[in-house]
Amino acid sequence: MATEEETSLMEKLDSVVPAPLAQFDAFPKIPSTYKSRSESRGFMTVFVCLLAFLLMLNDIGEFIWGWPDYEFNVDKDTSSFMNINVDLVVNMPCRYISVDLRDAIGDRLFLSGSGLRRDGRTLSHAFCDSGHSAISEIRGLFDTLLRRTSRAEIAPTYSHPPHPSACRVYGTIEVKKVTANLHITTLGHGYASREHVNHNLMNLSHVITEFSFGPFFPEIAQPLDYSFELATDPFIAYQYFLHVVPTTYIAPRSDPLHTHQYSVTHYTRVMEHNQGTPGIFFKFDLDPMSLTIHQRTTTFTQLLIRCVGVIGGVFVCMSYAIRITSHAVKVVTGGEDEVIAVASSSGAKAGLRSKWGGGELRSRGKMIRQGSGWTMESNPGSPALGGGYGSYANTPLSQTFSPAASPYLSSPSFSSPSFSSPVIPSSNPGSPNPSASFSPPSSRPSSLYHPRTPGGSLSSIAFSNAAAMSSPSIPGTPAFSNFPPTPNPATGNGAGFPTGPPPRRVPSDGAGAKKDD
Amino acid sequence: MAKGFMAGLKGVDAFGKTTEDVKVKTRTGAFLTLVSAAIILSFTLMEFIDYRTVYTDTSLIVDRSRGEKLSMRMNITFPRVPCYLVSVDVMDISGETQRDISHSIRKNRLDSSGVQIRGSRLTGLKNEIEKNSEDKGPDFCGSCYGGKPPESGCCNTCEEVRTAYVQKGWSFSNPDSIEQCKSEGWKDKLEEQANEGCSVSGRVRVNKVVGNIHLSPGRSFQSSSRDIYELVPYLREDGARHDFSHTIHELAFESDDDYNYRKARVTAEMKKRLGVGNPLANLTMTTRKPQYMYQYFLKVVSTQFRTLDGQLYKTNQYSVTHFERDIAEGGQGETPQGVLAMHGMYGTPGVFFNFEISPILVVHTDTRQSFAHFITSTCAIVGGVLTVAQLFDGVVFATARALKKKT
Repeated sequence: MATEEETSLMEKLDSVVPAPLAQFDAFPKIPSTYKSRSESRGFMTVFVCLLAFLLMLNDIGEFIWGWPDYEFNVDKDTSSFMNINVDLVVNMPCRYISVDLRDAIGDRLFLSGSGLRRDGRTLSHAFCDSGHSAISEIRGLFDTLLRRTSRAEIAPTYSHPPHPSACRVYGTIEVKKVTANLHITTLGHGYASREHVNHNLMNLSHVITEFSFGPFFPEIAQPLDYSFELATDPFIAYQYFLHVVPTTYIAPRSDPLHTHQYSVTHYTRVMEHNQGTPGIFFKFDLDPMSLTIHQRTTTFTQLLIRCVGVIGGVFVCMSYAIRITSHAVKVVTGGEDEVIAVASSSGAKAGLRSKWGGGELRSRGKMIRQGSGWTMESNPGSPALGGGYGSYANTPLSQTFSPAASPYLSSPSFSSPSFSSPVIPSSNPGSPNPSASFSPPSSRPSSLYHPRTPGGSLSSIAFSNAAAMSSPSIPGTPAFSNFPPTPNPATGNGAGFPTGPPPRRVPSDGAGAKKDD
Repeated sequence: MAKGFMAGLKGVDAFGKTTEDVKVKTRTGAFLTLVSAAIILSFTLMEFIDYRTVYTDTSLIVDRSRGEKLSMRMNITFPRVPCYLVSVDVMDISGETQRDISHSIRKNRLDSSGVQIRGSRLTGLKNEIEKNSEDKGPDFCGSCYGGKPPESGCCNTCEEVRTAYVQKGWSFSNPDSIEQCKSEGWKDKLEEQANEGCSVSGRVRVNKVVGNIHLSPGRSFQSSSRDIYELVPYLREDGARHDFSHTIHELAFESDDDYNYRKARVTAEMKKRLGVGNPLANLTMTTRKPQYMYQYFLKVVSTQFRTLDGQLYKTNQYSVTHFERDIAEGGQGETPQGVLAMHGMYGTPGVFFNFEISPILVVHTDTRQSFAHFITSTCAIVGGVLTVAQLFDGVVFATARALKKKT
């Protein structure tokens, strides 16, 4: 059967470790008879487990997704050339504009003929195209890293209108890595040229779909992407000042991505004829610092260490907090000790047992000190207690135990200890009624029990007081009425726990179960 | 136990102990104990290694220094330019120029296979010069042949006549007609040295502004505030082909801290550890065209290193891009991509280092985890592992007992 297999599993586990090594067991497991359990602590256990799980989520998140780590270095790349990817539409026919680049060395590159392609478009088409590309850029950057397959190219023009009024300038050009100035000027205003563009036809409105440096990644949105300017005047100069920083993105488990980022400031100037050169100017220079964005994650061992630390810390702290709180409560409510022979009973462990263990493990209630003896704290809500011990209520022996408790149980909130014989029926609603001791606990009306204390100890005090015979003091009681001395760990008393019949169980008529702390 | 205060303390004992006879010791518990001990040891060891590791933090601040100067240290070899042709000049944006630096720059002659010629300096001609002047007598005052004479008023050596010509703005094209040169055998020396190379090394001190250091052929002079290079001896093909192929062994910008030997050693070691330093080390450029210009654009970034003991070391790093151009092709050419390019500036053959200074200062700080951090992590590990193992053990124990009871 399954149980046989289980036991053989335990025996197998046991056989792994040789017997003498059992001495090294550092985890004191105490049989559950020595532990006290309560429902509120069980609830605390569940709460603590939830808290530990929530705290672990943070560490797990760091392990899976990581955090971006920024690093600056002086740029070590000594390559001499870099790419500029351009895709913009200017609202003038292509034959009227000239595209050039001048760099700090003094070279002038003629980009009108080769390098950048030019197609006729209209400006409204340009806005549509921009929209399409913008949607594809909503995907995140790290998506790009994981999905990129081949080099991307700027999409060629697909529709060519018959009478183009605008010019799309697009392509990738290779330039020297120095400060330079890429500009689009009109013929006749700027460079010396044979042609001259009529001032009515000059309209430098433009839409920039793409302007980036380095390898072309359409998914990365640069500052000048999807920007446009509408010109109000024929003689206007748009100047963009760009500062380029080489950037490397490193995502976990993928190759580094080398690219460039830039920051741009932008200035528009309207001028009179012959006062300056109209056009669109992109003036850029390079920064010596390069930025590396590294998405860092923790390693698996670090994750384990942290989770283990979190769980352990939370449980230990909670157990001490619970212990301190209950101790403080005991001190405040006055002097009823508990027999808790378990030093390491964290609420957690008790709670786990209560979750995993069988029902019989829950049956121990709290023992209440009565003089030198102990009585079982009664718990009418617990079926086990009620059923198990209700029968002892009729034991004639029980009467002799109660006097022992009287001198020691003067609770401050108990105003009038009424000493009456155990058999007096309950005629006084205010006083505790001892006659109920012989009736099943469930019949007690709950309203008679006042006041309530957290320990619920008053009820027993009351009943035992009420049931007290006129017994002088403890020393006078017969020896057999005393329980053997309690196994108090502090005193090192190794006597076993009393296994005799519990004293007369006086059922309390408290409203519902006594509240456990 | 004593009553009173100590008894009160007993109530606060958070580490209650269970008595031996109450404890249940199982073998699985022992097994788990040993496993936890092993885990704790390994984790503590990893934390300890982490504690001893030195990390380098990088941060950027604005460079607020004033009045600092840069020292550019270089070591460049020209295999096919003789030493008398190479001249080192500095120009910067403030207008300060240093021409033909010779006090801090050393030029060593190399023979055609690159081996240094023993005992040779450019002033190796001096011995002969002194001999000649002794022959002529102590009061000999040579004519400067129309050039601008030095302070002493006399041009006694060929070199002085040449300098006088350069100062006047004339080219020194015909050494045979000058007597000092003839007696020194200048022309023979020229031919002898025509096949040699030159190794230029030393330090140049510059201001911390945008500037330009160049190694060019001939002597440079200034005429009406324009720099003109005396190129005639270079271009005249006297049987040997000269070109500015070069190998840069070392090019670094130093600060005043690097003059201190001990500090320089620490700085060099930190640079090596971080992998920063000399982007131009051992860079070789070769060409066969005499009229070839090499341009290097350097951006200098000031750097500070802070070591674990709190010392501060100042130095510099730079980033560089380089370009080359064939001047012989004239005003127009083609880029590698095939785009037509027009050259706006006429170039001179040589090697030009254009540098500019960045406003950002990089601080590299060596840090290490503190001891308190290590202790905290160790406690966390030990506590965590033990508690989790205890929980697990308790579960196992309870399960086992529950299952046993069911049978």
